[in-house]
Amino acid sequence: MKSALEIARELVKNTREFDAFEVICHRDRMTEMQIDAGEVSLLRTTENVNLTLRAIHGGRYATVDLNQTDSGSYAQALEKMREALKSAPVDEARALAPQGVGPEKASRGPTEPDLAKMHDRIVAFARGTADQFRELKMEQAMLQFNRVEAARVNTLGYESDIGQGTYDFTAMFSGKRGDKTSSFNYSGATSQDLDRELIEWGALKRIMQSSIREIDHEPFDGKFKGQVVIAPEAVDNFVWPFLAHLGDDRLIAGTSQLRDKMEQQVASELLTIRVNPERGSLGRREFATREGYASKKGVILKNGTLKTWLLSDYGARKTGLPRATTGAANLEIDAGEISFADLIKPIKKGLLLGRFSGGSPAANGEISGVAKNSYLIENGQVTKPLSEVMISANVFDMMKQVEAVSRDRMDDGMTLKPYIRVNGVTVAGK
Amino acid sequence: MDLRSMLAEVQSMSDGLYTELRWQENRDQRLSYLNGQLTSNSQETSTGLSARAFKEGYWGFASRSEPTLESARLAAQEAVKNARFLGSRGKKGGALLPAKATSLEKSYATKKSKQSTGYWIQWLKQVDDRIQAKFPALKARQVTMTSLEMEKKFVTTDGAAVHSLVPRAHLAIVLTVDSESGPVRYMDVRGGLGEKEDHFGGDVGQLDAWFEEIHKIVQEKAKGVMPEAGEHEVILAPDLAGILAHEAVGHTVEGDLVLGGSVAGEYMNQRVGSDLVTLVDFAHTYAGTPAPQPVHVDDEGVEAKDTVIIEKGVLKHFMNNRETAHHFHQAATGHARAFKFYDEPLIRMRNTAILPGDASLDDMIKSVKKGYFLAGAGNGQADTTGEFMFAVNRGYEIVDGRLGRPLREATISGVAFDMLKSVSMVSRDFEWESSGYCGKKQPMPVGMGGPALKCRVVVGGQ
Repeated sequence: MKSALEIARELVKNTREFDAFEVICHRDRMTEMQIDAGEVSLLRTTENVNLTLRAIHGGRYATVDLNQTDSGSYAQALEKMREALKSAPVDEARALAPQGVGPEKASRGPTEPDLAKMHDRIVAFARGTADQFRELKMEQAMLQFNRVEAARVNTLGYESDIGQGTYDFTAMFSGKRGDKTSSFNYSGATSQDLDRELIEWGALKRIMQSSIREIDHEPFDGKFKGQVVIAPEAVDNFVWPFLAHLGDDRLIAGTSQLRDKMEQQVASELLTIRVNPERGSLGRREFATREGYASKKGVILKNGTLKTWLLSDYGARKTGLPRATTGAANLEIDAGEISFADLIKPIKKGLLLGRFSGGSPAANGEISGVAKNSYLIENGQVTKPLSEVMISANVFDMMKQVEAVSRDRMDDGMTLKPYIRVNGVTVAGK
Repeated sequence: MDLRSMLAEVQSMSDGLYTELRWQENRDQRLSYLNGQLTSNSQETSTGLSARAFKEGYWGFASRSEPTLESARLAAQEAVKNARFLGSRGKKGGALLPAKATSLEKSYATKKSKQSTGYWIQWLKQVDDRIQAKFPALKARQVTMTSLEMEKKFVTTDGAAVHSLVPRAHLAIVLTVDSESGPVRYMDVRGGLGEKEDHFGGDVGQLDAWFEEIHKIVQEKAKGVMPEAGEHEVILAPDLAGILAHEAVGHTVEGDLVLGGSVAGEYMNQRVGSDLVTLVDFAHTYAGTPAPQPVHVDDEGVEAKDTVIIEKGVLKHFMNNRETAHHFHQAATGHARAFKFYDEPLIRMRNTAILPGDASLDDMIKSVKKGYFLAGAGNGQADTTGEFMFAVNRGYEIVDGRLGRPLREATISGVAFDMLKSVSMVSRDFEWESSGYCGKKQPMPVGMGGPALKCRVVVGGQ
């Protein structure tokens, strides 16, 4: 069987009709064991190959994806490419990554799944959670081994060849006692190995324990504007809509709310957000951006000051702003100096937000949704689990109103995120 | 690929285990102009084979991307091996509801002559140019055309033999304007079952009324107010009744979620809504015409039938695959579907709708003293508790029976089986929403539909 690199090299070598041409070849193998309704029920093994063809010709650009490597399928894909290029408008901002900008050749993590150990671990998880958490209903849990061989070759001399193997685990569950049930919740993490029991991964144990407490949820019938502590697993719901204004779509469209804010204070000085693909303990590392540039360490927000756009090379050319030197998959939010207990201590009345089920934010950053798996905070104590409570805020105001960041952070194998206390959020029950 | 010829061989390999073989090809295209620039010009074809085998409660699944007989043989061997691996390490037990042998050839391919990619790139440019010429003061505009064709062939050792092709195509328009509180956008989508040629093409001037409506709404939203947070009496437009049917009710009655602890498991044959609420998951046809996502035979070889989930307010049926049907002693009505060749079939909704009533929308609005008229479904999410949420893209205050100030974005929530009991009027209108993808391990195209509803929900706002 040809390697991903051999396939990509051969296709680029034999396809010289375009001004610039690139092949990204992924060879993926996946092994999955799944728990349904508390019992292991499925073993699934898949093999796939994917080719992304990117061509620029006469300033025109198109992509064609296929998952066959035979010459007939490839010839059809090239025919589609020619047709798509013919009618595309000229766009001088399109370019392929040049030689020398990609990541070095790397192979990381296991190359084959340890099937027996996967089975031992997932059965131990099913049995262990059933024993330890008798009021937990395990709806579904999946342990996957994923091995991806990713090669990228283009006519500019660019060549990268990255292999990565990971174990990925996710569980979805709810607390249940008689006819009372908590909101469902889920958690997971990524790892290079199966050395630890699955229940120890990420924040699983803490979130499963919370689910049981949440069986006794009560509807919230008040309304206030004030302090909310966002749990690490809910932080993405607010950070990503904020970071989206640093990326291609918003900046090219001219609708970014951060367009003129580089090197300005756009968030609380307690907030530092960085990207660190070099952390040794990462489960999955992002080696390259979607365009093939090596993903490097970088700082997006330094004490609330905007430091980096998250623009692709294409976005940079369209906007005249600099290209990001990093992807954003391995995000880290810097830890603060206080414990969780100290974080909630000053709150007279507030909300601990465990999960956010919300709509996409409006173009101006307004966001609203249901606070799931969440608790009332009264006089510095987490007092009771709530249901039927909605929150609304503006993500730009939220980032400015960060009051405290916890010392402890959740490590899900991809990112590091703390608890964050913000102010100015509207919390409303029925 | 003649899968039938593989079946005898699979039967001998599978040693009497129930086994499925499926060939599937998904063909996607996406073209998008952002402020006049072609930012997306991509096509994707994903082809391959999978096999799934069942042994005493354990499923083995395997897939290969090469669509050859040798791949089918390897996938079938591996699926059986995988089922046996689990079977040798556990004692789960379990059975499938028997399915009768079903044969089907069904294609919804266009009967019109197909246009080239170049034609659609040019046509979409005309759409974009038209919008720019009509509304030069826009802050941003995006026009996106997407299409998906799912073609499947599969056989089962129970004797099913199916070949189906279901395409869908959509045109989405997003307009953004400035307002005092920053940019405001509105998106609307047209299209549905069929290929691009069935919905689009020709003189773009025919779409002027639609463009003007989108522009009017985004301008209204720019002057809109935030709704008042809390529980309110509302009129949900037909496009919201569909997402309500899907998110608030549909997910809670999926057999796998019921086994996983969904609160609906406690409510079978109990009242969960007012007499006015009847909710059906249609298989393929509604009122004599194809539903947005027609399923005639599901991916376990079960003939798809309409599933009446709530009848006049009483919960009547879950949605099942063959395994949960056996568990709940209910009929399997064709809900098992897989998104790509390498995906296993999951319990999925098809075309989930609340049936229309006999009220007029005008009378419904007149009957509300203080509340909101809400329309334009965004994303949504369900919960095991029945607590749902979905985003609303437009709306108006209702004051003394009349529409008042427009709203900006809102999010609404409620507990499905409380909220359905508050339904006090149901309109005679009915609309399908056809562009949605449901997310549940795998994405899946679904249809959602309904009339306008008068009910009480919690509105997120200030």
